[in-house]
Amino acid sequence: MKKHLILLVFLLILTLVFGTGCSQPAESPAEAPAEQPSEVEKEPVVVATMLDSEGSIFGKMIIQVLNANGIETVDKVNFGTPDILRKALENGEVDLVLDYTGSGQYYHPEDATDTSIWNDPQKGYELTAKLDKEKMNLLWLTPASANNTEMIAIKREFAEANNIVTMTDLAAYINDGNPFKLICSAGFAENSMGLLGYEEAYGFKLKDDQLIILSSGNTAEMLKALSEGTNDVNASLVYGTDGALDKMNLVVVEDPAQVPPVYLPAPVLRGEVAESYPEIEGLLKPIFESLNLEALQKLNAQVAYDGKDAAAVADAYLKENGFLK
Amino acid sequence: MRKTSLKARVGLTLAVLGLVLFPLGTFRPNRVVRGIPLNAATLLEGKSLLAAVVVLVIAAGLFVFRDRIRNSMVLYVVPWLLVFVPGLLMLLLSQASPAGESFDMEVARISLSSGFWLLFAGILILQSGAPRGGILMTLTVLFAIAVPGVGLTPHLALYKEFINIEVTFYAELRRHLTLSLTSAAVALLPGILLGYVCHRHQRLREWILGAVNLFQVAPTLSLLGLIMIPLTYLSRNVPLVADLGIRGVGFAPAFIVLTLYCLLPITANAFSGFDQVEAAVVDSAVAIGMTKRQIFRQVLLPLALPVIFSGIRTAVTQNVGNTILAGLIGGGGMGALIFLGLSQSATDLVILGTIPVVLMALIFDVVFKLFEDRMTQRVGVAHDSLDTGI
Repeated sequence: MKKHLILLVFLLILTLVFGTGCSQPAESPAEAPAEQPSEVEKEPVVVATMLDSEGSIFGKMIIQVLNANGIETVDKVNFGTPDILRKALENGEVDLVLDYTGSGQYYHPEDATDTSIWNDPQKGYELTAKLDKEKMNLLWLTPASANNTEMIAIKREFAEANNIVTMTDLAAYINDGNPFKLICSAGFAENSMGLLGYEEAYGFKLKDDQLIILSSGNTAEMLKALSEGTNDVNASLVYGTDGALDKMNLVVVEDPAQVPPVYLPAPVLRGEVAESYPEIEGLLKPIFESLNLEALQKLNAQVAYDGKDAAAVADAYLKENGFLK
Repeated sequence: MRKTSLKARVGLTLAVLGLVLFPLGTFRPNRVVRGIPLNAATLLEGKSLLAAVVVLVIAAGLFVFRDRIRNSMVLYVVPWLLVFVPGLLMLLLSQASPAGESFDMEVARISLSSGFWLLFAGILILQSGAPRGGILMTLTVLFAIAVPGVGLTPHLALYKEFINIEVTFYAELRRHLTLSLTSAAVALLPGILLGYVCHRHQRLREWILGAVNLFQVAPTLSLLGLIMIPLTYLSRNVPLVADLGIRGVGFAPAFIVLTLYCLLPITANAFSGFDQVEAAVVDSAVAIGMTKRQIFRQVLLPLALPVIFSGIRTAVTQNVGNTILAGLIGGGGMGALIFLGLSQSATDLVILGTIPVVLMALIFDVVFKLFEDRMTQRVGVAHDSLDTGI
């Protein structure tokens, strides 16, 4: 009997050793970052992004540029959901993330009472940057000039057939009692800077049966429903930089009143890391400045719809525009 | 014999349904749009390969109803030939493209659809009823992995997704294995000890079993959310914790939650394992003057081992699946791929992330089951009705 026990224990140890042994290369930089004393002064920069195609592209771009300039990185692209990513940054588990300027209103709600600030790209960025610098020692670097905000998309044919260009046109269409069904996230439907704001600004009101509300903010599913006309959906929530717009023949309804907050993608860096790598800010600045709405839509489409590798897409963009040799 | 032929019939029904009624694949002009279904009829035009597949399925029909016709030995070859069907079908689908239009094949891809999976499942079920079913099923799955694995199916959506993330794929696979195995291993000792305490002390039993049950019924995701709060606090305020690499997100919370989840099957099985050792056996051990420790190590534990082991099997198998959730909180693993696929509505990436999880769970189950059977044999007691874990 004893023999079996020993065998069993031995087997378990074997599995353990095998399991952990295998993972050493992938795990070690992430798990024990602060253990070696200051022999190596500069630790690699941990780059992390959200679980979506835009996160993959920006993450890979940042890593490629930093590596090309002699800065070591740890690849944590597609790290997790937005709140997890923010937590990880605050805890110092990751050093450099991609975030959106308008999110500042959720990170510091007590200082974000004046909602009009969030409709202005510059002011929103400045306030978020200031609050994060003072309270969290996080640096917001130069953002891209692409507003990845919540908008309403409709099919091109539908827009042309009903002469809809702006939200005012759409409100008139709805108020005339025409068939309309919007698919969106719960967060958008219940937000005063989302659907409620749109309804107030343009004077329309959607009935319960004109709405399909999903719990998550995953627009890929919504746009699929819109493009396939599932359940008579003819409008959907969309994010400004989504690559689907072009591929699926959809258009965004213009919003002259600028209801939703502005969300510019920007790299956010931990203050301590910025001190040991002051050059990061200058390296990323020209790249983010070069990315406008259209450029970002195209890159996103290549990853999400053409199914290309995010690293390859990022590499091609950086080389085409002379950021990498 | 009756059971075998039932399996064969169910399998055949599924296979025929898949082949005839449902599309085998879907041609997608890009990754997300709804594609053009490819069914057997459209594929059949001039394709000898598909004809061969159809012939084989018909042969499978003859095999299933072999006792109605002449029960010839030749028919036993059929399940072996079926080994190649899913792989060949993938090869064929990869070359398919709807007539009349030209597509950018860099971007366009062919997804495997319901018909293919039904056919695949049908073949496996049919084989499970044939002699040497285990080997047949393994070979079928291996062949189906090998065909795209050596690059024969460049346009298959699963293959394209795999090529895209090849490097990450293996890294995440390793993390997944590490996370699920180590967390189960860590639960082992406390689980068995708790089971022993339950066996010894009636009073504590309810409390302990209640507590481990509580972990089990709490939804994994909310448990993850809850555990992050104290961990974040600790890592911010206790430097030692932070130095150990324990943070509120990532590896640590996933590890802890998975360990807690493994406690129930191990504890419950250890308890019932110790409990079903007959009192007379323990009494005689006492009578020959064994100490408590000796009784535990030389009598109780060996006799309870098969049952405990089946608890470990349950724990590991369920853990492999639960580890997917680590992907949501930065712990990595196949979950990272699955949730990325969900966020992009890319079904094939989700499937690509799921297949290894299913395979791993099955492999662990089979391997542990083998050990368990062996142990049961050695102990010489049948424990088949004592699977109290789940």
